[in-house]
Amino acid sequence: MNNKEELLKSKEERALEKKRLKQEKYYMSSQWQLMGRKLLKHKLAIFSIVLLGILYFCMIFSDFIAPEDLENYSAKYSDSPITKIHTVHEGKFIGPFVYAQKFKFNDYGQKMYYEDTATPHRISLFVKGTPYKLLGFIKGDVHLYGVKNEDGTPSDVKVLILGADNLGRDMFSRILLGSKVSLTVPLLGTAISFVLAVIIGGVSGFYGGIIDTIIQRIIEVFMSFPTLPLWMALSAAIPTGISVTNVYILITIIMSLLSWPGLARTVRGRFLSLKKEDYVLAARLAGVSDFKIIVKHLVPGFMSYLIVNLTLGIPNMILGETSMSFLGLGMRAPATSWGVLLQECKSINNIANCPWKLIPLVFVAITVLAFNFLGDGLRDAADPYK
Amino acid sequence: MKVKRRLLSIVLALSMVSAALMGCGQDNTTTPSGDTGTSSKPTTAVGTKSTPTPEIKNLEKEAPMLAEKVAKGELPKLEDRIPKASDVMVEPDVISLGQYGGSVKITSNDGGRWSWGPYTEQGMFRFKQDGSGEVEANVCKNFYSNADGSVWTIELREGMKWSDGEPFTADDVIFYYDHCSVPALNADRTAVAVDSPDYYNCFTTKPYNCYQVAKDGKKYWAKFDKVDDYKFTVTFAAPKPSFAQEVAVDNKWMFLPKHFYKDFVARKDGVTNDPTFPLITEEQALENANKAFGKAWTSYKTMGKDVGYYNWDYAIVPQLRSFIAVKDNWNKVGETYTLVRNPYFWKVDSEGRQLPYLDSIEVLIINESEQAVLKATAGEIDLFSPASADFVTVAMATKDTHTIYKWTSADWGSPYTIALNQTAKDLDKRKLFQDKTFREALSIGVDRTVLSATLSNSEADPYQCAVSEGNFGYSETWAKKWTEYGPGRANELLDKLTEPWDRKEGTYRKMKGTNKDLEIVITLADASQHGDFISLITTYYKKLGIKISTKVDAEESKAKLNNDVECSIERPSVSSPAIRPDDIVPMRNFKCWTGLYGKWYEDGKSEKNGGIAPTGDMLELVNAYEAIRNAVGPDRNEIINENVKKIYKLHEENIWIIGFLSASPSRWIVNNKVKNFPKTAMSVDEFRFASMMRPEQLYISEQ
Amino acid sequence: MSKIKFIGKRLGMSVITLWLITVVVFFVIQLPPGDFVDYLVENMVAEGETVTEIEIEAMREEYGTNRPFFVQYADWMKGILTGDWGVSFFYNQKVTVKIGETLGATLAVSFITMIFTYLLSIPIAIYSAKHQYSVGDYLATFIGFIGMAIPNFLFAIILMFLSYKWFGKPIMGLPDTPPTSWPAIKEWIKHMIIPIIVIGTSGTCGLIRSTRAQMLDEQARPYILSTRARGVSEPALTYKYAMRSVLNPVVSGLGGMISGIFNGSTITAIVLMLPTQGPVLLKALQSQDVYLSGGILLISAILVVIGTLISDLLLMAMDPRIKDLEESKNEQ
Repeated sequence: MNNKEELLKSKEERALEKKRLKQEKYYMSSQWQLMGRKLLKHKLAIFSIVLLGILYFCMIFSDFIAPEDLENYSAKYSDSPITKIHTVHEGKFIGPFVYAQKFKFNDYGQKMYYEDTATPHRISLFVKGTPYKLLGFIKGDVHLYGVKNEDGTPSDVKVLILGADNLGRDMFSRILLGSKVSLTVPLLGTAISFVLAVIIGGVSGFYGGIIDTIIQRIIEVFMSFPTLPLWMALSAAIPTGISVTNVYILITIIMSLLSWPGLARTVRGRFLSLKKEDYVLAARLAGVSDFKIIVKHLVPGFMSYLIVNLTLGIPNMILGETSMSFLGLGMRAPATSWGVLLQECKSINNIANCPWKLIPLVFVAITVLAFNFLGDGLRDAADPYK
Repeated sequence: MKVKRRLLSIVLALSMVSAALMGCGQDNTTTPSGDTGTSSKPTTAVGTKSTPTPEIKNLEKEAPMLAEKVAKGELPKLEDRIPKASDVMVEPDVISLGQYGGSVKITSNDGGRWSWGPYTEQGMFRFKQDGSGEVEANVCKNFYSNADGSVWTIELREGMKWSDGEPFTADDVIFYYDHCSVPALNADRTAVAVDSPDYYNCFTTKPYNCYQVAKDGKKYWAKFDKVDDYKFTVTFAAPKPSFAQEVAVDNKWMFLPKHFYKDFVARKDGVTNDPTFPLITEEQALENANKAFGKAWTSYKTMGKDVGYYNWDYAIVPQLRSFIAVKDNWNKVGETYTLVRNPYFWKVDSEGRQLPYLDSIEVLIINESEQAVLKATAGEIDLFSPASADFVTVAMATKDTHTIYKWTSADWGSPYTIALNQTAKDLDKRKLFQDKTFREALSIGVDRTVLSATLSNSEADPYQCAVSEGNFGYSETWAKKWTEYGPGRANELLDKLTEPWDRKEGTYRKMKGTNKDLEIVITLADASQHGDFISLITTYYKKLGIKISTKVDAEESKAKLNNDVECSIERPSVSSPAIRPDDIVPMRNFKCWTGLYGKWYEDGKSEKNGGIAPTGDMLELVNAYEAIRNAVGPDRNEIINENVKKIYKLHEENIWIIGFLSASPSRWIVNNKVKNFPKTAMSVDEFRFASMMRPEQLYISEQ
Repeated sequence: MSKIKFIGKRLGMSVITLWLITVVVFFVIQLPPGDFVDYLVENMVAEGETVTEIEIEAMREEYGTNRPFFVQYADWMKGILTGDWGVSFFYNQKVTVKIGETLGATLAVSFITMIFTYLLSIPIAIYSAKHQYSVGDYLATFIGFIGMAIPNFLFAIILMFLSYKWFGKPIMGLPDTPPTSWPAIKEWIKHMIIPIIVIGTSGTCGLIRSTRAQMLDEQARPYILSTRARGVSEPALTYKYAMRSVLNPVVSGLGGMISGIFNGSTITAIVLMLPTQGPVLLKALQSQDVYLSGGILLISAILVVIGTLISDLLLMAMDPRIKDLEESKNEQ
């Protein structure tokens, strides 16, 4: 009994202790921890983080997850719809399998696909297929799923979980492999514009005066300029015959050149208000160099703000990439990005007869929304003491 | 009355035939209508002609909308609007008698003067509807030449009027020729050198080849002489046996309304002492034009090209066309550009009823193909010629309201081709491109069955860049040459042509004796073109160790002019080299595959401006073409035939342009209420595409 | 006194910015290789004409495209200042005339879509700020954001296709007749639905975000707390601070908004076949019609600058605490 009471008491105490610790932790915790705490309240933001996590995970392992590469053309699967996955063949349960797709033409020459139900083709995991280099250096030829022949070689029966394009390629593979461009261009572009913004905005805000005025004018000019002619001019400057990687880098640079002025203005604003803070004055009086003041004292002071802005800038870059592709200024086939995929599916033909080709749109929309919600969550959380 | 009209038409037809016979009778006089190699080709008969349909009320001789105006006194009577009875043109291609009224909707882009133009176009001569490649009189009543084809006589129709009611006479033709389409000439009728201070270009900016003959390495311009108001002659310094055909391809019009243009055309050389055509300066002309057209041209030259060459762009210009514009809104996307019937149109049907039957043609100005396809899918377009990729969608959606017509295509296979510049700037590449075995390797290195399934919805067959089946010159061995997929043999062939290649992933062959990757750069005018095709061949050629890259150049044609294009996707589309040679004979440097050989010919067979003199089979092409152009005498047809075959044979031998798939037919999806649409015709530029349907005889009936 | 000095300084700055913009505009539109003559020659060759180098040079001389950049710029500027904006090479019409042609449709489409944007986003912003982190908040913002997440060009095509699927008639472009009679007005409304949805929803995202943030800020202010404590009704309270929150982003976004009205959404306008400034601008840029594209871009830049100027002055009037005009633009 006593024992029990003691136990109870200690339990209470422990709870109290826990609470105290927690409070202490709260007051002792860094700004980042507080932000994280606040962020957890924004359910949609958390959900977005998970979603983005999945997307980026899939992107990193896209070569492995995607059943095929970008050049696996097939005469048999041109414009094939989504493959149905079955489990029961002739009344017997045999695990997940697909039937081969066959087609015939109707009177107007439209391809009508049907399943050849004679033989089931089991879906296997870890199937050997086209070789790839994961992350550019891990060599492999095993793909997550697919259909193999009796002897273990890859079969030409395709499992098209998101249908096929008109060249008979697996849309799911193309979306995954395309995400290597579409999900990284915004990150890289943002990083570049971040550096530009911090340097230019920082200099402008920190020094003020004539430098500030000049930089502000330049930013104003950039910001009041419609993006269309800039895109066209800059894209026309992309030389021909250069590799996919280089096109990729140039697109990134174009995107970041267009987004730095807004960020720079934000940075400058924060600098202006922060530099009047006492601790900056103290540092200056103590003879700390300008550069050190900026890096050590000012930048951390508005880092959270900047991250919010950066996050909110990413979706614009994703959309920018698709718009560039629409105007024929982006990646060129056979290289693939989400912009290229959207550009391909815009024909009335595809919308009317091959609606699965619109699936990339879902990926774009989800990613854009997720970054937006994440940005909103971060923004709400950025002022954690409120 | 009716009987009389019919009689007249018979007389008229007879007179035309007799003119032809006369030509044959007087020994060695050429026949009025052109005769080329293609004439030997039997074509499918065109729909039944001019059978009076009992349901149609034949009482009305003109459209109610015009009769109303006549009644109100706003328009002269029909007899005063059309040529006199013996001269009026009885349109032979009227399929069945139609009723007046209604309009058809078509689409065009905002720079589509060449796409809606053919619907209303009326050339001096025109190609017959049967695809024979022969020309017949159209605006003119009759035409014939002397024995060697150096003097041509053309007769016009008395009483014919411009759309503003002014008479159309030989003066309009001679005015057009002398003052609008001839550049500055020397006394011997050769053109003044471009860099000479006396030089000036034609008002319409295009010096036509059809009016020039080459003699002793110089080009001489023809001379036009008026005989009377309705007759004139064209005299050449040397025989020009194919004059009429060349005009039909090259210039087509040969007239402009003098009474209208005299205020906008300035001459500097005092060519004229014509009191009805006062001399004005360029500045005055420009000012007049800006005032009359409501524009702001800054130069006389630009104005001349716009109002002279593209004269049908402007509603205020009097026309001989079947339909005329009411408003110049053809460059405003989203608007409807309306062409209404010309009240003075000079053609009648067999019952003497004035054409056109339709009240108007409405052109929806649409730039984005998706919008046009969507409109067509919804059945809003009456005459639609879909791209092959869009055909199924549109055809299925409109199956209850529209009918599909298939016209013959003059295309040499599908648009998917590779044309290698035979005079590529890079000399290592040039050597390779000129090698037949290299082209063979490229041709057999691609699996055409995959291309067909993916690019043509399995509709097309594996095919070379060759004359389409059913057309004159078709040969199965040519069509199927090098079309069997053989990557093994392709690699073997290439091994002999390049440095050894270890077939390592991501590496390419090096060109013989160099350290340069074997790369073929395809130039495209716009990045959205042929993406799928390029994806496919890039993969196939990678397997052969050949790198394919693309270069987007909006100024592709100009790049070709400068020989800056080493590979292009271009496909010839010609009815016959006798009619239109420049796609398949090196005559000009506007095709990638002919490169600087074309430049050489264009510069009068000289290398002075960077052209290269062709040798071997390429030279043979030129020779064969010249034999066609210069053919005279009783064996003319045979010579032409022989040389057309020779040109085809040379192409079969060399495969300068590598083709992959067969051509798709030129399809029309036509609203069922539009009657008299020809079941078959050949859709090709020289036959003026839509012009072949003779839009003036289309009519609307709800049945 | 200091205010007037600030305004004067601000005006001076705007003039400098404008001048800089003219240089950049003229530079950027000439950046792509080639000039209008190349475009012309391309068309001539494509139509089967033969053109020699001598002729090309003569054409360059005629259009003045062979002159050095600064000579051309000075010429253009002189024209701009004297009211002669030059002649469009492509349309052979005075630039001002050509711009005027599409002005009506451009303004109509922009105003209508803008009103829609506000009508949709402000209620959403107020609701989601009042119910932060509720399901309703998520749902409302989701609806507000979705238009921004779908690339406009595809959204427009899909809606056009759906209009055909549902009504049997694809809706695109604008009616030929001006909206003067009731049936014509109905026709206009029908044709405005898709542009409103596509262009309108693409702008809601930003507006919702800034209004909502302002509202949340405002909600926590001591004056609101004290007013609430005094027993002022919640709706009256909401109205009061919501007004402030709404006004602020509207005013500070004035620059972009005004130029947006003029520019329209180029790509969407092309896809939807709207006869607005956008497609004309694209055509001008593609054909290197420098005076026309320069004119359009210049007007839009002027509007941004004027808009920013007005918004700065208004912000200063609204919030007397703002002393330094440059500081007023700290945050977006």
